[in-house]
Amino acid sequence: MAAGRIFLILVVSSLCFSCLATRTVKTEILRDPNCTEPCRTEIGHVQATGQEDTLHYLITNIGIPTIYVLRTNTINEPNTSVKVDWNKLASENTTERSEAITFPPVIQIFYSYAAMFTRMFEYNDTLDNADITKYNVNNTAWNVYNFADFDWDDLSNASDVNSNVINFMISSNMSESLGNGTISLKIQAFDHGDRENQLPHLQYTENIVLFDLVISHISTNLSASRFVVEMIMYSNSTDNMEIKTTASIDDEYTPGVFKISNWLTRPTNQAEGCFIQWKPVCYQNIPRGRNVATYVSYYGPSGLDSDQDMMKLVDRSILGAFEESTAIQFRMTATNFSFGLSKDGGYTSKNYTAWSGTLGFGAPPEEKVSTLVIIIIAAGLGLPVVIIIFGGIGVCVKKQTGKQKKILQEVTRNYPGLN
Amino acid sequence: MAQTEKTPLLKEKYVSEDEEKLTGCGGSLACNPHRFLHRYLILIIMCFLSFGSYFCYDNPAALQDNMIRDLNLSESQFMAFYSWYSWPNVILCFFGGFLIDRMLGVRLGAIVFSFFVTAGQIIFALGGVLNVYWLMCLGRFVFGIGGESLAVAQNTYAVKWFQGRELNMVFGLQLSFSRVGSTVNMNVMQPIYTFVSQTFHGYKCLGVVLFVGGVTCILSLICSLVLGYFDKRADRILKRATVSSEDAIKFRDVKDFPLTFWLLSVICVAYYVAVFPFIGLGLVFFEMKFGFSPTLANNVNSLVYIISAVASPFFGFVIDRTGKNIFWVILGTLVTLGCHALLAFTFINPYVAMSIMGLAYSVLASALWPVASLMVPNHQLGTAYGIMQAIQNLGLAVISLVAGVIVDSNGYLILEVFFLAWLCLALIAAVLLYLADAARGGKLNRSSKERKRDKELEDAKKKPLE
Repeated sequence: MAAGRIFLILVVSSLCFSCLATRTVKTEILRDPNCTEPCRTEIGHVQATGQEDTLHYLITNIGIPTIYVLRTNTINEPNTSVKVDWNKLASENTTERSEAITFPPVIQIFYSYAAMFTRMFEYNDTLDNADITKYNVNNTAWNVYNFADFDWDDLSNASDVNSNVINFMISSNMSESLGNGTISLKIQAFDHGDRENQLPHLQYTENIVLFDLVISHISTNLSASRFVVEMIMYSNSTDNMEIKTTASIDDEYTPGVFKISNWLTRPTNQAEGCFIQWKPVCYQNIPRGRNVATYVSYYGPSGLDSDQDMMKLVDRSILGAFEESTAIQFRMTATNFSFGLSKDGGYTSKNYTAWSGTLGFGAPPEEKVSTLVIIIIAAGLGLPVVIIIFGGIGVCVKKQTGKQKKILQEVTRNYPGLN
Repeated sequence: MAQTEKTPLLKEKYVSEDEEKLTGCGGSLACNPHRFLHRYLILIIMCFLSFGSYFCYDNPAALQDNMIRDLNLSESQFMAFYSWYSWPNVILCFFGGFLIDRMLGVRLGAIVFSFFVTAGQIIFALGGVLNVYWLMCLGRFVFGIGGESLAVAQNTYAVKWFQGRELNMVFGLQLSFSRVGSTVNMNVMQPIYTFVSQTFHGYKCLGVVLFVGGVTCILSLICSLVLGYFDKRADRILKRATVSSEDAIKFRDVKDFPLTFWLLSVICVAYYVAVFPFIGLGLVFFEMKFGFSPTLANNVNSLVYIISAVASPFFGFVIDRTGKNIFWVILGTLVTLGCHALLAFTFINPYVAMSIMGLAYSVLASALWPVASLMVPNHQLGTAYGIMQAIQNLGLAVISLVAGVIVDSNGYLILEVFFLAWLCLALIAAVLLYLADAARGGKLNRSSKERKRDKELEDAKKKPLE
């Protein structure tokens, strides 16, 4: 029964995947035509055009590294895409700056959301708990890195627009100041649905972008260093954001990981909201594998303290360059992600941490027990059960007939004269 | 009809005319091989026979961090200490068992293998003191030659002394003692290391600590000598049959082992590979699926060991009382199947599944091994236990590797299904064993009452011939 139902769900869901309108995805890197190398002000623009709507991703390291997504109507006419006024973007005046990004009047904005990578903390995990709630500002050493203050390389240097990949990489100067370490953030968009080809094999669709954060060989003054990354989610709706974690018995795609978490901007209306999805696993070395996997804990989502805090974040990011981002009501929440598990050796054991997640529009993809697993379970367990049942029946039958024979034999023995 | 003929014979007590008169201390309760207390004292020595090998087997694990640091080893170099032990033993313990039957006898066999264990540990420790990696590997290899074969000798001893009596309980007790050996090692080696490090440093300290660990091997060697003496004495007093040279096993006798023995071997390997490779991979499973802290996960993971150490002698005792070994084997397999299913398909606290699995494992282990002694004549028993041990070692070595690959590529759910399939195989083999045995008169699955009666009948049959 259960297996049958699961199978039905699989069939229905696979049908749904195919009936979803696919998107054509085009990636370009917008840059000020007047700027000289290094430009340092570039915007990766991914336009995922579907039949009903278009997702415009504005991915940039101007200010706070941000993936800003605008869901608009689809107009199949030329020159209906996003426009950037680079002079206004560079302006110190927030009002002027807020007019830097514009769309032609035919374009309607349905919804917008953003994921911001604001800060990175490093703390001395002297208790080896891998739990930041065990510490406060005073009882252990902390290093705070503001991503907005980093010197990031030009996006065009490390990105691959043909594969819809935008890559944030710290510049070589910045790298030197971190002891020749690197921090990179890779964002990839897709025009189809599948799974990431490396662990943790997260699902993606044409509504979803994948991000990979790598913190590699950062020199540290802490003996038991661990890292925490702070992310902020922006949604121009008034729903309260929520993180929901579900557990599954099936870890076939991410061996050893049974949970999946979704940070939802509109938990009660998921189809019209967005999400960040991740599994509580990061990797301490390449190639990624179970043997180098460790845990990811999250702390949040928590609302920001004040409207000023929110406006500060808006002004320090690409959000402040688009008037409508604050014209309507919006919500922002913050979540910290800490990497590591007690007794995993900490960051310094491999000097490497890689973590993946997805940012997408609509209801997040769910993990289901795959057909392969069901077939294996059915074959691996069903077959022996069948053998035992039939064997048992066979034996019972044999025993019965054996008994009858015995009775007959005894009868004949007792009455030899009858033979 | 037949019963009426034989009943009176049972009442007669057979007393040998030329029985050796035991005098003085030798005739007391503790020293007289006829008496139960003497058997139990021998049992204690028997348990300590393999204590040294179990203690030292896990020395590397207990000192893992120190070893890797002091000797500057890589993870794989460290793991080689275990593979140098286990891989040769895939076949060596078969020859060990054969040697016991064919040439050495169990007494000399136990002494020789204890000697190998001691020598191996000394070479291992010497390699540590001198910081010579290959010498340490050689030490583990020599240690391995002795270790598994010593277990075979121990089983053979157990059957020799306790067949038809408390055999299940004795096997249970030996099992629990092997667990005690490794547990003591895990808890004691680190303090010893800390103590020795006040005098010695680095690899010298490590070597000295390993030498200290070697003391347990010497203790076991002494046990093998004492046991040899008392076994010889008991042979003389009890007039236990010695194997004549034409009776001695030949290689080709192996193929004449009954089908039921091979089914038993299948159960043995299929069951054990579903328990121990799982425990090897269990830590991450409990951490990730059930959100346990590493310490808690470690506790759950070692539950099977701890519970089996306590429960095995108890279940052995129960099985001695009830007989019906095959039913116990089937029960143990079924319950373990259920435990794995709980772990695989539910989020129920793994304490439940692992505790029950510990009990099920105790039942199975105490019921399974003694069955072999009912299938194979005593003079071939060393070989039989050697074969079982060899097949089991091979299974564990291969399946541990395969299990690692499965987890890495397909995750724990599939791994659990893999183990469930092995348990199903064990179950099928157990049912077949029951059927095959039933077809031959159900000798293996008799209750203890029937067994006792049959034994008395047999003894009675023998008497008139003497």
